[in-house]
Amino acid sequence: MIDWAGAFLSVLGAVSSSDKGIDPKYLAIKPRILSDDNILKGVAALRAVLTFIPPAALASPILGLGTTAFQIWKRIALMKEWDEVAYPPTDPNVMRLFVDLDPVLHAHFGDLTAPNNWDDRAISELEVVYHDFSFLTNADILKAKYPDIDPNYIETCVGKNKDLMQQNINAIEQVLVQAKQNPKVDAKLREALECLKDLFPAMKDWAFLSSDTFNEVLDMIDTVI
Amino acid sequence: MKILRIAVVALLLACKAAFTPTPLLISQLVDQKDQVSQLYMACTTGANYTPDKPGCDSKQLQDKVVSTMSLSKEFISADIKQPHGYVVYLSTAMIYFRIAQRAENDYSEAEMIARQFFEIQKATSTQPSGDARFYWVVMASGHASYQWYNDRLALNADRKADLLLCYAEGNLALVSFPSGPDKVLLVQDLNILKAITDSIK
Repeated sequence: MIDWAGAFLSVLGAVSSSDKGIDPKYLAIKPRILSDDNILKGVAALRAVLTFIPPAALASPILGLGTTAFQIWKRIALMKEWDEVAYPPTDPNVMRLFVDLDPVLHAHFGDLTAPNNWDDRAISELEVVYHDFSFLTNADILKAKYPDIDPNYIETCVGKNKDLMQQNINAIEQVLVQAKQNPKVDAKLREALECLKDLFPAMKDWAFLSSDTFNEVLDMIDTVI
Repeated sequence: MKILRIAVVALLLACKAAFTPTPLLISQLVDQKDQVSQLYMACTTGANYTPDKPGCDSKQLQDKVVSTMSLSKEFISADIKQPHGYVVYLSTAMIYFRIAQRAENDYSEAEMIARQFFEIQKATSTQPSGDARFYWVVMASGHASYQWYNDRLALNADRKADLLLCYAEGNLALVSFPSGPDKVLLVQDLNILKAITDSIK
């Protein structure tokens, strides 16, 4: 005698939502009843009743994968490299607030952030300014591009950006040392350097940080580009 | 007995039809994410979004961004512990907020999903990843900046507490965050969070 009611309940129990592990108030997207976690439990539970149900009538794609194959398939699928966007987009409202809270930038570009002017054109114009003052490390370039802005302010901005660059360089140096040992890492590093070269037009300015390793980085960039 | 047997089979088939499991979605999600990246890259010059650039199809980009965000949410709901759905959703949302309309509901949802990503990681591993913290800071600063201009009353004491927590977690991420443009963005967004929280009494 087959306990169909028991089998039915065991399947339902296996695929029910469980162990979220976090406070429900932080669950903006709720898990589906048939989540991966629960499918695996369901696979095990269904196998228990498999002998009693015609296999063709079951959810064969799920069962066909099996627990181990399911995990392997998923691992392979998820191992794919993501095609990263080199430059993360900046939120226009963040740019706007950044300029509004900065007395110098607001004095020069405040008209773009005014409610009556705030449109796609203003956002595009402001974006260029925001990125220049966030990324550039060459004071001469900034002074030439923004002759009306106080040179001392530009020097301060450049100083901050250079500090961040210094951290980047330190990280690159560490990777470079490791890369010498591994051709695969070396190739990835070259790709990364290409992105950096695009991102920081004033990269030659990095020469102020001279070290043997850093010179090696510059040599690699010249080779790559 | 036969009826119950049919009912079990019907239930399973219905479940399968209604809830496509993650493995069947992942290839589609990866393809869509790649397409979004390519379309966005075609519309940028350096770090700036330039929709007038030859070869840029901003309408197609916008459509693809919206459908990718929607698919990512499906992916997340298939397994809320897995990071990939969150990363695709949130990185695509960053493009969305640059190129498309910026509305309270969209900001609110994106920040909640970023928070969920952080909380899930906190609950399931010893340390939330730098990604989880980064995206929370990015979405929170974007949303809070929007509120600054459009709903200042929403920046109340409760909101301040949330933003301060986010700010603290963002600073933790900064310590070991990989170098590059994302780090520059993280620093700028942390400055914005600091300025906003300082202004809330």
